[in-house]
This record gives sequence, C-alpha cells and structure tokens, in this order.
Amino acid sequence: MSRVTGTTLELEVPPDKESLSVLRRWLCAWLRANGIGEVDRKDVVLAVWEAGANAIEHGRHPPLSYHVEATIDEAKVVLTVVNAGSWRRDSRKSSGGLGLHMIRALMSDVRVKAEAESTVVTMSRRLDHPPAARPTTGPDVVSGSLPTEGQV
Amino acid sequence: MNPSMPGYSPGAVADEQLSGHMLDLTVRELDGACVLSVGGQADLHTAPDLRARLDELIDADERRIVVDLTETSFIDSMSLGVLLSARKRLAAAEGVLAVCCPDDHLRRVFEITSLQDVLRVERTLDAAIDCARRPNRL
Repeated sequence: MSRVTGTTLELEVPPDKESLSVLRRWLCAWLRANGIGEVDRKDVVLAVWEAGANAIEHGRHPPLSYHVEATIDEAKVVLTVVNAGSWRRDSRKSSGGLGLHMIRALMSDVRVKAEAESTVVTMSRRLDHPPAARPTTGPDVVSGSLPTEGQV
Repeated sequence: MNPSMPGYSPGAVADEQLSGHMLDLTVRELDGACVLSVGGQADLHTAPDLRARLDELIDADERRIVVDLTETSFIDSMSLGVLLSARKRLAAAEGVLAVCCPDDHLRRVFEITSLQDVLRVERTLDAAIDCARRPNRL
C-alpha cells in the first residue's frame, strides 16, 4: 500500500535498481514540495539511496521489496527503511559499509535495528532552516508527473 | 514499484532507462595528465561503465589520471568504491589518481567518507592535474 500526503510518504519499493532511481526522484519531489532546502534535500536523498542500495545488495536473497516511510515536521525529516532479512555481514566491507557510514554522516540520528527477519533503519535529519511555506497544492505536487533528472 | 503509487508507470521507467543511466565519459590529455570527464549520475547503475573505462586507461599505461566530476550531479558509495579501486591499481603501478570536484555537495560526500585526501580531491581542474603529476606520496 502506498500513501502520499503533504507531510507523509509511504512506499513499497521493489528490490531492483530501476525502482531505486524512481524512489530517488519521488523523494526529491516530495522534499521539494515540502519546502526543504537544497542542502538538506540532497543529503536526505543520498542517505535514502544508500539505505535502499543496501536493502537490495545486502538483504535477503532473492531480495524482497522494502518499505520506505517518511514524515516531515517543522524541525526534522524522519525516514524509515524496512527490509526483510538482515544486512549481511559482508555489507560491512566495501561499498556496503561505506554506504552505512555515509548514512550516519549525512543524517543527524541513525538507528539500525537488525533482527533475524528484518532490518529497520530509522534516520532523522534536523532542519537548519524550517521548511519554506508549503505550496497550497501540497499532495498534488507529488502525485503529478515524475520530476526530470538533474533536479535532485 | 507499487502500481497504486500515483505517477508511477512503465513509461516513467522507460524514460529513466533512456536518459538516466548513461554516464557521459570523455577522455583527453591535458598538461601531461589523462583527464576522464564524468557527466551525469555516478551511481550503482553507471558504476560498471566508470570502472570499465578506468580499467581501460590503466591497462593502456596511463599513470596520471584525473577524474573530472565537474558535470557530475550525484555520486554514491559504489562509485566511490570504483574510484578507490582505480586508485589502488594505479598506486601499485606507481601511478596517481586525482579528482576534480567543484560542487559543494559532492565535496561533502568525499569529506564525510574521509576520502578527500586519499583520492586527492581538488576544487579546480588545474589543481587536480598538478596533484596527479606530483609523485605518489605513499
């Protein structure tokens, strides 16, 4: 079930690279629609990209779709990425470990809850500047056409 | 992605495949260095292309390589891994890799991963070329 409102995003994302790119554009459009500035937006998009990449590369094999939730309030953006299976140990090596390191550096607070059946990554980003006034078209902005590349 | 997701359609994916997963890779010799310019998004889609091109250059005995990210809009951990691999191969052959990166957000990615020194990240192409021509510090 997917749900998109002005300040809430809930997406079920298939575990493939194409869908990760679509998720990136969606998230970027949603953050933009909520008045999140460029620096915060780029950091959050990269952090979610890395979490999604880890879910694809290091989760259960064959990979299952993963769940992304995001909320925005005046002070912060909070995102949760849930995927089935634990990120495998080898994700500590090479780009998997680097990705998690990047997530921790890009976000204000990161919690990784690894269980036998699932990995839950919860990350929040404090906003240095409160979001600009949201367009009155709120949700409709997100449900329109996908943003083009280069707007990230 | 979930078909109920508004705005998501096979057409959207087709557009992405046509326009989104190509790196514009061009090579030129400049002041004694081999400059590889990278245009587009350096991510897990395009990392194999970047790796293949860098391997080709190293196989062709290029030993002073500058990766120019001036026209790069996004870089992820997999692409950083590709740059690290190339740097390792070059270092083993007494070569040098340097990176030109003027964009503040991309520079921040190198900084938070503590790779700005090991990958010799410079803000201008001239500085990166100077860096690549200097003897390896290791």
